[in-house]
Amino acid sequence: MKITNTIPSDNISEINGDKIDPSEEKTVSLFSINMNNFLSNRLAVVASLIVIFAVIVSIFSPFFAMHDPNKTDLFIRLQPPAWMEGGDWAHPLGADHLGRDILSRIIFGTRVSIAVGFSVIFIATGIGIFTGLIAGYLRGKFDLVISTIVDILLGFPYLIFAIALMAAMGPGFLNIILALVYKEWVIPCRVVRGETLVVKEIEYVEAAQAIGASKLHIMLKEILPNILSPVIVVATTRMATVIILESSLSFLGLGIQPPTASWGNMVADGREFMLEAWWVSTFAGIAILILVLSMNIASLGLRDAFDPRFSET
Amino acid sequence: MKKEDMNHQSPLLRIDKLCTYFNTHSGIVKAVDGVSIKLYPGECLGVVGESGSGKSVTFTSVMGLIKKPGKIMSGTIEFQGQDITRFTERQYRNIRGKKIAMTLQDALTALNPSIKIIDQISEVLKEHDNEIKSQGRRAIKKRAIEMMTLVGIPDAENRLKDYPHQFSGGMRQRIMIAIALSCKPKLLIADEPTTALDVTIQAQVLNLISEIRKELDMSVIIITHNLGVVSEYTDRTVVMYAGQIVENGLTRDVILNPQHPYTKGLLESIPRLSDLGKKIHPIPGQVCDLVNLPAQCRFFSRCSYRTEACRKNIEIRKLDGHGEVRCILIDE
Repeated sequence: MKITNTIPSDNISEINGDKIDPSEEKTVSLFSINMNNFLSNRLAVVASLIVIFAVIVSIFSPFFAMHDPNKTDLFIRLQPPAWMEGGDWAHPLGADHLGRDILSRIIFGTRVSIAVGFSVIFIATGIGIFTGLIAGYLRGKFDLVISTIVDILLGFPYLIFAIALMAAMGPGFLNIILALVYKEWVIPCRVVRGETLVVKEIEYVEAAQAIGASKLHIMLKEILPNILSPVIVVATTRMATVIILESSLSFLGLGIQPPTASWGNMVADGREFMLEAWWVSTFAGIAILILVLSMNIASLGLRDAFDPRFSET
Repeated sequence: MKKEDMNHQSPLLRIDKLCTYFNTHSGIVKAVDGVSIKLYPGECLGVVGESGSGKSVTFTSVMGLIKKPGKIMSGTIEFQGQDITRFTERQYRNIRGKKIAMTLQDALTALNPSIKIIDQISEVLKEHDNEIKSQGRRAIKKRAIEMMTLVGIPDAENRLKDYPHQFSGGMRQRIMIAIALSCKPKLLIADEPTTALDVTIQAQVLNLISEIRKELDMSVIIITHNLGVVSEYTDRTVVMYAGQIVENGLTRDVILNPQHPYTKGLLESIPRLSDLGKKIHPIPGQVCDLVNLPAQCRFFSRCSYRTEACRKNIEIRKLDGHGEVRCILIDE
């Protein structure tokens, strides 16, 4: 006996008498619905364009910068921005105490902020997803160990923890990333663990067990795609914080070392000349402000679009 | 198939004195307490009982999917002659989905919302069917389309890349059945296959299951609290109450000539269109507390035929025909 049609097959493509051509129908994933929500939020779109612009600037810094960021020229020492008396358009934002072009240094400083921000978040989120899934899905001893470590790390103030680590490991680009990752991973870990605890009770996980799927398969293929939205939201929110932390470390002289330009050490450089040459510190500070603010607005937009029930961490 | 013939075959599934308990804060909940069921190849068994009677837990035990704090305390579950309660996780995974498939109660949540339908169907095939896996993605896709057409999803080819939320409830139930059947299992356990569906779709889904059952020659267990479903589609019926089987017999006998007072009560509480205006007769009271079970018939407090003789543990007894019943008032 043939069992093809319990329902005549042409019924389904005909809704309210309108023939729908199946080839015109687009597959709509939840992701694309969320994406449309996000795109309708204009402020968030502008903010994310700024972030994207910063990423492009950081990748192609040499093309954007007019000068070598480390070239000193004592003739233009503390030259003011172009629109002020004594400034000229060769150095639009003026020069610092060693006669280096501030705009070029800010452009190259983007590299540090973006590179540290992205790599710390990327590594930390990877670790967080892995540990969070294990803790949340397998529970038992794994959960006990991971959750205890997470709780202990959460007890330390972030900056002091990073300062201590940097003091122990010594300054340097890789060490900054390590110092921040050491503590940063606990945040995605907690989110992933919590979401996993919720999702693993939903029937489709049981259904996957019932067809003989392995634990690894269930964790990665069944649970992970369903908890990705909050994880992405947390990652973008945290990236702003990580960028501020990097700037703070560099400001304190524990992060990126001179002469490499980073926004944090540029602010520190200008501290002594704050009264006579405010532009040395200020523009780097504004750069931090714009990037961090844009990231926060963009991530808020992402959160609203992807995960309405998510609340502040 | 004649029932008499079946008795000469060895059963496909034999559950023997299965006890599954849940160790909770308020005590040990005896969710399944000494259940024995035999199921022969090609047979369709209905399991009825109200919420909390242990019907789902019994078959979740068969799948080896009892979650903590639940545990199989004693008893054996033999599938094709092997005691699967002693299987390791790895051995179990070879059976689940491949030889025993289960569709879950709620089709709306049993499909993963963020995975395309084609991937959900091919998951099982990749897991169990090495032959088709070696033939590559195209063969898997072809098989997925076959399965979707088999369960009556129109225009299957164009809907492969859709997500579950783009299907209606009935269609999702069909997809679940397609997933369950894609490895051609020997046994399908359908847990409340129709509860989330409206009446017209219910009939379609059940017809589908029984047609595919004949086509693939598999055994089917339908877990439900709907006696209408049972009477229409099953060969044999098991009525469960408070973790025990109270009546077991050919569906025809159980429906037309119920023995146990509980079965009678169940049949009387069905609203019928022909009884328009008349009152229906629900069974008074609730299922007894499964933690503190007194040494008496578990249906005692709700039974309208109870006597003082019922104040002891009642054993299940064979009737003359094919049936069994757990009541002392029934003459042998």
